[in-house]
Amino acid sequence: MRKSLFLFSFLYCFVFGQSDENSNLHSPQNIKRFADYLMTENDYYRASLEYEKLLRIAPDDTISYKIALAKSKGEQYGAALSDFMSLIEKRKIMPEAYLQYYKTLFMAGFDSTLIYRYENNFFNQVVYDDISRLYFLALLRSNRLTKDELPIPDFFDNEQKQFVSGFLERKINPGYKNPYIAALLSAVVPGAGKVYTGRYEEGITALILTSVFAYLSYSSFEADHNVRGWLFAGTSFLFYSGNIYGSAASAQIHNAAVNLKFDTDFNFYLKSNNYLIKKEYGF
Amino acid sequence: MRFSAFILIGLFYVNISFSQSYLEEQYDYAKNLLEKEEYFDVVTELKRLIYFDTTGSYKYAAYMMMGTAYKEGGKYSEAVEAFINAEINSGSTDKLFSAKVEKIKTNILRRAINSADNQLREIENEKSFSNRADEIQYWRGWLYIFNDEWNKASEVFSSVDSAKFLSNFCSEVDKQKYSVTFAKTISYFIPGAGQFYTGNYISGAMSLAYNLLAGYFTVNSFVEDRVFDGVITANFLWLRFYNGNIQNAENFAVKKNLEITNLALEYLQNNYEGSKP
Repeated sequence: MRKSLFLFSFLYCFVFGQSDENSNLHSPQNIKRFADYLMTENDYYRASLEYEKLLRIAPDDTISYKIALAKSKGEQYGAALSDFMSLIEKRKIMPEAYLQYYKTLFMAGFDSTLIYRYENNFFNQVVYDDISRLYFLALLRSNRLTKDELPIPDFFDNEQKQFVSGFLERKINPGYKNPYIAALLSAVVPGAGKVYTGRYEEGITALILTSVFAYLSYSSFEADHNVRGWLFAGTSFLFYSGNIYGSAASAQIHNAAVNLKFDTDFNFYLKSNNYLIKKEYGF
Repeated sequence: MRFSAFILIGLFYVNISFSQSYLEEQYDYAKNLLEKEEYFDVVTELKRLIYFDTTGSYKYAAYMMMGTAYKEGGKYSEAVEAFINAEINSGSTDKLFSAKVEKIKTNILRRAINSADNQLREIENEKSFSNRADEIQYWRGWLYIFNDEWNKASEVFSSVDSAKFLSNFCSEVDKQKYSVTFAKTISYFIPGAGQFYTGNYISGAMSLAYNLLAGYFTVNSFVEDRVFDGVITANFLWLRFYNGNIQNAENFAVKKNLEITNLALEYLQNNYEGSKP
């Protein structure tokens, strides 16, 4: 009987103890569990606040790292970079922090800083390949690579090399249209600049309108209707000058569209491949 | 031995109740935050509650409160998502109905009229909600209010016993509103008349004067055989004023109607004591 009671008491204490820990939702252990859960739910801002709460209770480098990571994923890039830098300064051998620092720089578009840091040997050998890939991609994105950079370095695998060389090719030969040439072409033949930028319908319309009004003006002057002649001449000139301006603008719009398409494809590829990072901290 | 087993079961029961009380405490804490209008924290604490509520006993209530917090904070998409989760965790017809209605109310508020309309049809056709027809009609009335169809709203509210006030109110608002088509049409015949109709007398007088002057120039050009001048004046001057006058009449009517409906909505928001989206 005594043995049984002892066994029950032991069991009760065991179960009760476990339950107490689980039930106290604001205990450090549960705050951590909840914050990790928020990270997996992509609720980064709340996760960072929970980790900060935990840090105030029990300071820990891993928690500091998670705070920085949550800020980075939550696109609070400035705060994340500062947090990663503090971690790196504090513990010089924290490869994950180096990697995330570079990833954050890349995601924030701070290519110059990324390149400067890398070229001044600010990295950790453990994550050298991952960081080197980000460095190369930053060079590519900021137009600092030439054809000499082909073939692509070996820290990219074969599949990655294929994509990266494709993007590099698009950077080197983007197919831009020169706004000055477009304007000049339209000055010589109305609408030609639009045709040069690939807007055929607009080019033909501009040519027809300018010609018709020029002809109307000419025939009006011929018939001694001077007021009408000037009116048509003015209209024709408006179309003519508008078309020159429009052609230059069209070339600029074309170039902006090329850049936008490149950025969209490049970012989509990198985002869907986690910025070519092989292994990251898991939750 | 039987006594010991009894004690053990008792201890387990106490233990479970103890952990339930923590969840209840957490729920009350979130409720307290909601009362203080600290919506961000409400959502955080409810997420915590849902995460640790392994039995799922608080999920429905937590998602309902979360939806309310999101809604109060103006995050309507998130509110709808929370109410959908409440629907999933409802477990009874009444709770399911409440969650669906909250979702519809949020959609009405964010003017997702088609979605709200479809959802109202859905619950209208649901047999288990056949005894809630009045409530469904009531929210349909509000849907029409937010879709600026005050006449329809009045009709719908008139079929609900508890919404007679709203029916009369909507009818009054509808009567006060200006007819955009009428304002445009009378401006076709007498330039400026649409502006007079909406109470913009100076603008109406100016419109009439511009049109008379431009019309005089046009007619005069034709009378003096200056056909080209006549065509140009008619095209670039008279027609411009004439067309502008019609557009102006339309804009004034739309603007006036907007003022009227905004005042009506403001009145309902601040003074109407019944249920609102």
